Amino acid sequence: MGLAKILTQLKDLFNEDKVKKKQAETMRALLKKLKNKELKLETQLKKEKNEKTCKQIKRDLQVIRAQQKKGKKILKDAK
Amino acid sequence: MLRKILLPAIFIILAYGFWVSPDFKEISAGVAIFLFGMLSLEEGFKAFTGGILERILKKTTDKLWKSISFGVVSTTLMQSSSLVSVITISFLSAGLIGLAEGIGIVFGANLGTTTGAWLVAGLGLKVKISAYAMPMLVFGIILVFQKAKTLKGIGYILAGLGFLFLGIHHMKEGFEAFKETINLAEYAVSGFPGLMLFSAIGIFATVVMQSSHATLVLIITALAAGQITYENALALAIGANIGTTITAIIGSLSANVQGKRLAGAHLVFNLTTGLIAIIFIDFFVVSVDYVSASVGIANDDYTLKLAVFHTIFNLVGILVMIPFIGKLVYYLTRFMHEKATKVTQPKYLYGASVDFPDTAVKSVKDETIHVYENTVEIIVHALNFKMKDLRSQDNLETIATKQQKINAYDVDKSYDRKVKGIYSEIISFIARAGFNWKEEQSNTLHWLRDANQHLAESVKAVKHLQKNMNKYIISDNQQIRNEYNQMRIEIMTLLRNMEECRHHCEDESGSKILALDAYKLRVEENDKELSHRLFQHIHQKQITPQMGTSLMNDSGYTTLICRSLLDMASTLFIGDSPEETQAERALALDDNELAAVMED
Repeated sequence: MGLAKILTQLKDLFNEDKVKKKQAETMRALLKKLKNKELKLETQLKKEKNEKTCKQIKRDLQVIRAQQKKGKKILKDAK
Repeated sequence: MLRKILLPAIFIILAYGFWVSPDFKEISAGVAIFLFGMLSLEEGFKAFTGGILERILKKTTDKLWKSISFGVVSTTLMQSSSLVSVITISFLSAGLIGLAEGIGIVFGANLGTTTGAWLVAGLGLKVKISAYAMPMLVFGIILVFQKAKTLKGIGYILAGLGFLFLGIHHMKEGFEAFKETINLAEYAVSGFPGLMLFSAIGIFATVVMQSSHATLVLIITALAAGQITYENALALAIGANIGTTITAIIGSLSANVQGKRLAGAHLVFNLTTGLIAIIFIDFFVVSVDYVSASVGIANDDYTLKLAVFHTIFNLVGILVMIPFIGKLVYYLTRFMHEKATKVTQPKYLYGASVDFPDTAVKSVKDETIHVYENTVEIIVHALNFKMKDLRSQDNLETIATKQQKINAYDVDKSYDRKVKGIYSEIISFIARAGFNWKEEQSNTLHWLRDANQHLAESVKAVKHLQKNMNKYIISDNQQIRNEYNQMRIEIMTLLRNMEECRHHCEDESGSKILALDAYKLRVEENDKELSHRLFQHIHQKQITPQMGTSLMNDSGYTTLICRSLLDMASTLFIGDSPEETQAERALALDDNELAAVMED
């Protein structure tokens, strides 16, 4: 194994925390966006009169909630 | 332009002829009934083309003499060289026989048509064939109304023969009566000018009637009634032989290159044969007399002598042309090229960029988007929509229900032209890419390769869907029509959403990948709802079980198309930030998670 490769691996080892931290930040930002979308859809649902559209919004909300749940679990496991 | 003038002109001449002479009307009706009989005969033989005929053709065309014999026998049986030519063209196009074998069949078919002359001259004029025509027509028409394909085919053949006999009878009667008012033989032209003039009339008559067989029968009946001289009848027969090639050429205009080559060979053969007959007419006349005397044909039996002449000059033509078949194949292949299909070339893949990881990934991604755009075009057309329907916001249901006719879009051809080539280039490019790249770049290439595969799968699925869809969207059954319309609307709606997703960046969550989960769920729900409706339709007898099976299979294809497109989108429509893409992929729901959401 070349010296350069060993040095790179050592560097990556020290940087692992930094990478994980960055990943967690990205995940949190994404979850925040999903939360905003959820709130927006909830407002839309309250105003919507069409039954078919209401059903669709409800389904979209279910998907977003499932995605958020998954994201929170990933963050929890990463700690 | 010529066609536009020709048809009314023929109508006017005929109408005038009918008004002036009732005998002319009977002769023309005889020709019309005869031609109708040929159509019926062709229709009947078509019922058997799905099996026996093809099997015989495959087995009997491996050698030139066999091909010629096949042409003779099949044309003798079917009394239609054009049907034999059509079958030969279809086999040539499918690559089941070579051009040389095809030419052999056409040569043989030419000789086979002479048997028609023998039958009419030998039997048709001597026996009261109209007596046989009536029972044949009655039995034939009863069989035509049967459901079984074979019985229907036999019915058409019987009815066809009945009409042929009836047509010959009317032509014969017409000429017999005609003789009492006008003697056309008085207009006979002898010598070389007569030969050329009557050959030209023979060509014209065959072009108008689109059948040398019908012309020949007309010549024989006119000759039997003494309305034309034997000398002019020979010239007319030569003309009919040349005229039939024009029918073949017109027919081959819509055929592929193999059909055109075969029509070319037909033209060369008949022109050569015609020229030989014209140049050596005296020799042929002597030969006919000699052969006729040898087989016991009376010297004044001109109708049978005409049949002998027809056979001899076609036989001489074959003997003269056989040594040149190889050369004919060579020149026809050389001068009639297959029009190269315009294959779409890759736009973004350059050989050198394979050495630069980021550039290579970008090239493959852009090229995959190119494949995606072409795939969308194929799917839209296969679903019988237009690209403007995809781009507009018009109600798809209104567009779908308004459509009255289907568009025969060739998915296979378009796939070969617009997708396959680029897809292969992408795979080849990825295979050349370096293996010591960073994991992130290698993964992206891997996903892009999968995206291309999903696109190819969606085209294959739409091809299967198209088959029944084209049948059912114009069906009289409203339920099946609605269901097929719903399927294509579902795919189109997804395509519209995907286009929106692709061009207008992310939704409020900032993620295209996550937005696709909602679409995936909708696809699954639609599939489930359709299955439910399907059994209701069958239970309430709104659709037949066969329709139900088609619907079930095609619902599967619809789901496959949607899933493939969504899987592709989750790779292709990703953002530029690798960290965000990684996080989005981690949050995207898998099949089990989506199923759990659906159950809630």
